[in-house]
Amino acid sequence: MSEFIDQFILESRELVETATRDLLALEQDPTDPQKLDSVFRAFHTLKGGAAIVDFSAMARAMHAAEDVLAVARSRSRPLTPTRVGECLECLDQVVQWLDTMQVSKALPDGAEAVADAIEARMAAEPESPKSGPAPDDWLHDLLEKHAAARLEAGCAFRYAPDRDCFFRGEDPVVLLGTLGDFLAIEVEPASPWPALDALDPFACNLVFTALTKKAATDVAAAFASVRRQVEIVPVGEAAEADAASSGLTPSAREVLRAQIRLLAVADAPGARGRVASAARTATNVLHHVGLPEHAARLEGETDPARLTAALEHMLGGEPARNAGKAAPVPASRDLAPRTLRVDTERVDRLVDLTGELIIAKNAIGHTTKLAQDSGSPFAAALKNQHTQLDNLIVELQKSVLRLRVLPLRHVFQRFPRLIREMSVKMGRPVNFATEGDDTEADKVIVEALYEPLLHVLRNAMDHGVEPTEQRTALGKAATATISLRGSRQGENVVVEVEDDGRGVDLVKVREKAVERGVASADALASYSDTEAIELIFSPGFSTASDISDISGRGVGMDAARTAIEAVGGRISIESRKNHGSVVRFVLPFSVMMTRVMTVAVGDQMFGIPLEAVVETVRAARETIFPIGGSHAFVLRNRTVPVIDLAETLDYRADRRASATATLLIISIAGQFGAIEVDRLGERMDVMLKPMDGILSGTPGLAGATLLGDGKVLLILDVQELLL
Amino acid sequence: MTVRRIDEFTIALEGVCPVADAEALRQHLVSAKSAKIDLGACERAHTAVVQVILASEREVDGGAGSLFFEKFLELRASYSETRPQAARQQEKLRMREPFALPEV
Repeated sequence: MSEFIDQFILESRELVETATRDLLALEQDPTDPQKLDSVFRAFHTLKGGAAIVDFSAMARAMHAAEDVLAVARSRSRPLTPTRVGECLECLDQVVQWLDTMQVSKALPDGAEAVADAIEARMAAEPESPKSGPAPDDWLHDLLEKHAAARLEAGCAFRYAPDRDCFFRGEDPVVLLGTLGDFLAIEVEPASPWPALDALDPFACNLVFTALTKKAATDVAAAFASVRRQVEIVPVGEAAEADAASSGLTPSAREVLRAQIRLLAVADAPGARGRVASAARTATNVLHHVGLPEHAARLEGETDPARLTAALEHMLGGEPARNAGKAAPVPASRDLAPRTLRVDTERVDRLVDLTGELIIAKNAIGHTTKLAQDSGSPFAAALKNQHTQLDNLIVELQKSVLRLRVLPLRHVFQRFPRLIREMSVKMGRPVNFATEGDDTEADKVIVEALYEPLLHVLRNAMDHGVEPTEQRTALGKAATATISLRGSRQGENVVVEVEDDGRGVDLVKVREKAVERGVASADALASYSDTEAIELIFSPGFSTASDISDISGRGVGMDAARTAIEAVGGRISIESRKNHGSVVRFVLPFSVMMTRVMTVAVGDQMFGIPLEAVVETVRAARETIFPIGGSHAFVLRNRTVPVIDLAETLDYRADRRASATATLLIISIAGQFGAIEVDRLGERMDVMLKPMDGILSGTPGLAGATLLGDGKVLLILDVQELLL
Repeated sequence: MTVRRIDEFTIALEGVCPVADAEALRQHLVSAKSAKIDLGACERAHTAVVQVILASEREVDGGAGSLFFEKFLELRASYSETRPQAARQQEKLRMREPFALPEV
């Protein structure tokens, strides 16, 4: 059972992701048939999966959502934003259930009641968008009256301008005039005309319905500014929905069409069985939709040609369309990428083993050197083999790294919904766009991005994007734009969040920095704007005057920087007042290999991540002077604190003897520091392993790795040492 | 003014009628209970004005110079002549021929 549940959880999560993405797309364009089909399939598969693991509550909930989607698919009622919201909530519930199941490995408690609630909500009549006839009524009327025009028509539409549309400067007649190519147009009052002396001439009470030769997409484009007020139905499919009302549901038609296709290849071996099976299926379908008289006509039919003709007749004589209908949406199986699902743990094990292999290779390198030094006759051969092994392992390492990459989509796709919700909650319309979501990076990096991006996007919504009236006053578009972009730049992955909001208010930043004691007024005076903007990353800094539940607890940017630096990345911000801000994350493609520089203190070697090292200098002992309890020295007119590594690590503090000090200049979060060491070693690529067991949480240590000679090299966390 | 009450029997629209004309037209129609609407000199009218004409169910003259009025109101007028008032209240305006609305 547990095995089924694991598989079910895995698959369901993927389906939820797909469905969420497509639902959000449907909110933009509720008529996109492919997205609608995809969402429907996802819910359908979720329902099937739930049934397999005997999770009847979830199956019921999915079925309820499926019903709503089926109605939308048949076009008799479009998918309203409220309905999209309800379907999304339904998916949220599924995720909650999956989370519970992942932990408990059993079906969650209390699911039945939740499913009841979902069923009730889904079954409730949706709010009708406008008083007036139901959507399919107008379509039916229009097509009936203009039967001749229907042949030429590309689409039909119903344009019901809002009552207050004149006040927004809309002129529906002029807008209709821009479209052209009408076959028929009708205008009627939305509600019966009152007497003239009671008529409000500035409240629009008109509804236009029309047939045009133009395609649905062209009509949608022409009405883009009033899209919400217009309902567009492609006439080919409208005709189908129309016919469906005469008895055949869309799915029944689909099944009957499939039988026609089956019969078309019926001269192949096994033809008789196929004909019988097609007849039986068609009969069952017709019984199912309540057309037993049609079913009776097919019963026992064995001639494929006659059967085909009968089926085509029932479908309303549409043989020509079958071929076209068969093609448009390839079965999901054909589209499925050729991939193998592998447990992450197994991949991680492979990564670990590769790391061990690199260490073993380094050990052989060490042995080779020993052999060379001792003049062994095998030295040359050993060196040769070592080089080959080295090349192979580099290749292996690259391949293993590719195994663990994920597209940024993995994290990007979680945000459109969040932005949508915040946008609604705050009443600030936002156009959210993601780009480059197929850019790949190591799983660890991609997963580490979520929290920081969340903070940054919340900030963009809360502090960046102005309320609509302010934007209008500034002459900006009322709808703000927030973009989330990912790209690969050399060995780095760059992720940017850009908004066109008010930008960072530097005056306020400086004020708050003093108020919160992040920096002194004197120090601030010498800060350039670029330096001042960095202050927002300081711990305990927040410019939000009112703390909201969106952001503004003053932990956001500080936490974001910490998280990004923990995986070896950098975060920076550019901002222009009233033009917006760009927050840029620069991350390594992979976290597996770290370049370190080895340093020695006494007889102990340590590794220091090379990305933190700016340069190494030798300084005369007398240039290092004490300040308070610590030391500092002046490097190119900048005072840099000096930390004696030996002293910090409690080795020995007998440095005064040497005339010069060997210093590593380190840059962390824009701050400089110097670490004094005894000797500098070499640079090497190591596989950094986080400390676990008894050593985990040891301050100042980032991890450890094995050296060629079998010694353990401790890698220092310079950030903790310096700050 | 693009809306003028010529006399007790005629209210004329002239040139391009802006949205504000809707109220002026309505007042004229209320005060001249049997006046017809003359569109002979009207090139185009805002939807709000068109709406008042439709709601009034008055007889319409002219409009031949404008394809828009020709299509929208000619038919309206022909219905007014042939249908009893009560039926007209429910009647929809319709057009059977393909046509183009004026360029804007």
